[in-house]
Amino acid sequence: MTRLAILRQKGPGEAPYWQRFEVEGTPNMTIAALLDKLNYDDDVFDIDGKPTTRVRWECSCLQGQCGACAMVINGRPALACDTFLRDLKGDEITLAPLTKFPVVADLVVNREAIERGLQEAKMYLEAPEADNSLAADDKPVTNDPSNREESHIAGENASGKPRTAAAHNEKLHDLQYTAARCLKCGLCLEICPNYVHGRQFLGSLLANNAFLLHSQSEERQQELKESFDAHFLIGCSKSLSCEEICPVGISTLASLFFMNRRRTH
Amino acid sequence: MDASTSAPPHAAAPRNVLVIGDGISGLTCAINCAKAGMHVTLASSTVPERAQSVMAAAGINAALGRKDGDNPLSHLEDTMKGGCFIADEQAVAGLCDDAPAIVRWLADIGVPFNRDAAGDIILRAMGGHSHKRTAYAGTSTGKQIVTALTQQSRRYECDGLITYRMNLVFHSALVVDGVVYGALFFDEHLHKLEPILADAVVMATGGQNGVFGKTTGSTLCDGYAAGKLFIQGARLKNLEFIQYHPTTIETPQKRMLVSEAARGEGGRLFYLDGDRRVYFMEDLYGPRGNLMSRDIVSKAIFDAPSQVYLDVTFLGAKAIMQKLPEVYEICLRYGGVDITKDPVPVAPSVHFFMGGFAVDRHHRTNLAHLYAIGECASIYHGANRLGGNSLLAAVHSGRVAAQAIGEDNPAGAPPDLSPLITDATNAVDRVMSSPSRYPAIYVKRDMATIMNRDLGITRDEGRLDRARGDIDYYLDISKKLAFDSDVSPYQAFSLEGMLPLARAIITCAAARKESRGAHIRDDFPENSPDYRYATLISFAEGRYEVEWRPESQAVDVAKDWGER
Ligand SMILES: Cc1cc2nc3c(=O)[nH]c(=O)nc-3n(C[C@H](O)[C@H](O)[C@H](O)COP(=O)(O)OP(=O)(O)OC[C@H]3O[C@@H](n4cnc5c(N)ncnc54)[C@H](O)[C@@H]3O)c2cc1C
Ligand code: SF4
Ligand code: SF4
Ligand code: FES
Ligand code: FES
Repeated sequence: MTRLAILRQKGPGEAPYWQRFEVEGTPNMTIAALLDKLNYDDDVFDIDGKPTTRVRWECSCLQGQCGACAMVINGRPALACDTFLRDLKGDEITLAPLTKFPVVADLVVNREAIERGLQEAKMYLEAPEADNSLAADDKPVTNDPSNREESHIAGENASGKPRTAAAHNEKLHDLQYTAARCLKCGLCLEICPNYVHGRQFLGSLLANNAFLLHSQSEERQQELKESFDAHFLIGCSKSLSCEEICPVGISTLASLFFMNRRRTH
Repeated sequence: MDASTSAPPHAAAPRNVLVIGDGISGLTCAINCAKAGMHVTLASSTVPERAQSVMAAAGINAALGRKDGDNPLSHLEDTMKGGCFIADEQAVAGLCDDAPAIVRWLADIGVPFNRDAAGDIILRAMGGHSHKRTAYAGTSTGKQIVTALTQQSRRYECDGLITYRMNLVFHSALVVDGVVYGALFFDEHLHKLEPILADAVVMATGGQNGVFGKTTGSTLCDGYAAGKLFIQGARLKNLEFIQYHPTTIETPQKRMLVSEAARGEGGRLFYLDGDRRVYFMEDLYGPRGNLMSRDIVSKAIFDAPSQVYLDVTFLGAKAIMQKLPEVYEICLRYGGVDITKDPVPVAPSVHFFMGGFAVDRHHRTNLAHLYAIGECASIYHGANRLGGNSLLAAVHSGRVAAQAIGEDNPAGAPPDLSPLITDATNAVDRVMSSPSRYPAIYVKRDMATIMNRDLGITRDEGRLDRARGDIDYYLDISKKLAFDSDVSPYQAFSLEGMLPLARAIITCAAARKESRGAHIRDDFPENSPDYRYATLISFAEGRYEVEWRPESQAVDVAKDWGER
């Protein structure tokens, strides 16, 4: 039997309270699987046998690729579907909602501030408009391949041009690729000593986004730098707690290094 | 921000577009509508980072390989052949012709496709393709595309052309006399209904995973939206064609996909006959046997006399870590197998839905001003989708729909919708005030059990009849039961769409008395020219009516949208 303590809350603004459960867990189960078992094996009872409501939490991919199930597990922010019982110590597992976002109910929080923040910081890419024409879709099907090739994939570089020189720089390419995997899960904001919901500072995820866009963008570099300063640099005290916590291994330090290096040019 | 004031003056006729779902298809459509000056409300149950699109790993197809003689016509031929010749050839031609431009556009907006030393995009082999034509970005092509698209959509958000609404779950369409004027949403945070009106509504809600429970995909794709609209008059199509992915591993909550890339890189399938390894795909189909299309591989694994394994060990640890790191990680963490050392036991799982909303070449459904794109629409894949064609279809359909919306007449002023809204609100209130502790999930689990039992890789009349009887029973009792709505009333009211969808899938499967692509009937093993048509299904006063038409006539806007 696995002992679980869950910090519950009925709705926004209501008082949170701890509730304890016993669930039959096995070492290779994830916290997500354990929650499903708690909720749907039967009606739900707490450890004293009192009936209670089902525990709310969020999921989508159930394999660590979407960031939906972020919560605080044994005091550490993590993804529930990617945390295995075999890796947890102690005789009780504690689950709590992320503390840096308003609670919706139980383990569900409202992370809209992330998307709104990125919007406010103007984290977008100015892309060239070339090559974006839609091939006419009711053009008759000819059986002449040369015809098609002529009209649709002609051109010097039929395989498409890389967006920037970065494509040839393997290290930079790898960094961009990893930064683009950001789940917007908010774990980096949860662990950051300086992130406060509603303020301008948007922690590691902003730094990583700024780096990604800056490295892809010839059009908006100045603007992105300024945004990076205003939404990241002013608030960050460089403890780098965010680096260890990121489930996809994005390096805040690398983003910071890259942005600072460019700055001195 | 008030969008109407910030829209550029050169904008096309002012249009408000409602896009529902923010996966790759929804984002693409929203971006293209905004680019044309329309105002878009992008509403979804959650942010794009959670959409199933981020899970796509293997890649996106385009006939870019000029050196080995590939061209869109060959791509078209392979797609038609994979789909067993029932897809609309002209629609597929549009898809394949657009593909190279799509991949170039994606590269332009920042998707870091893998490239060779000369800077050309590397193409990989996938099952059913006569050429290497799958472009990929590391092991997370879908995710990389989603990131690039959000970097574009955010730009239009900043301009006020896209208004982004999160946490809104589709409840129903606001439809009067076959004309759609908007949709009702359930706000998962505020726990109430909200109407959003629009000149055009685009469904981009993904596949129907929920009907089958454990699948390779996201729990957000539950099929509710398609099922609900079906009840509301939308025509659905080809629901019997459900693709099984041949190689997945099972966990307590899902079936995790072992990417086709593992076979693309040389992985071999075998089963054990005593101590002897039988490489059955190679025995059956020759040296490229492991790369046959998914329906064939799935069926062969299903027919194998014992547990099937996938072996990549001979590639060597270095190549595996370099080319298949995600496969390595998944098998190790979730399946407990180190694929550099041991073969991994695999089994087929429900993976992709060729069926969905019937649409015409412009992605218009039979309901006026309702469009459908991405996996929830049925058009390019016929009886079976080729790997890498669905990401392509998601982008292409978003582009096509945006263009059509710009050219179609807007819906016009809506009639009084308040009776519709009041009825829906009362119904949701009833669900929310239910004191029942019985979770709707139990009904969904039973539904999934029935569907997996009787709509597996092979089907026959007996099993389909049994499934129909069982689902009818649940359709009947679910109307009488009250459900637990602590978790969300959505859990309960979504049954109203999902059960009829399950029933419609069974009806389509029973009607197609032949074997074609992903639909294999034990009692009708042959392919029959009588069924070289699309299966169209409509809901008419409680009856599930099937009709056969060539795909190109699945929706006839002149007739369906009528003179209004
Ligand atoms: C594991 C896996 C790997 C794959 N790999 C590949 C591949 O390599 N190549 C390829 O071509 N294809 C692949 N596919 C298929 C491909 O990913 C999908 O077909 C494609 O991403 C679908 O995109 P979409 O925009 O239609 O829908 P999705 O990305 O599924 O998005 C659906 C959206 O609708 C929203 N939604 C759903 N229901 C509601 C509702 N009721 N109310 C409000 N919003 C709702 C969801 O939140 C989501 O935002 C793969 C699929 C899986 C599962
Ligand atoms: S940077 Fe990492 S921890 Fe932060 S939101 Fe992105 S994925 Fe999550
Ligand atoms: S380095 Fe420290 S202060 Fe800076 S973003 Fe990371 S956790 Fe926050
Ligand atoms: S459910 Fe997607 S990361 Fe956990
Ligand atoms: S940020 Fe933690 S000590 Fe500085």
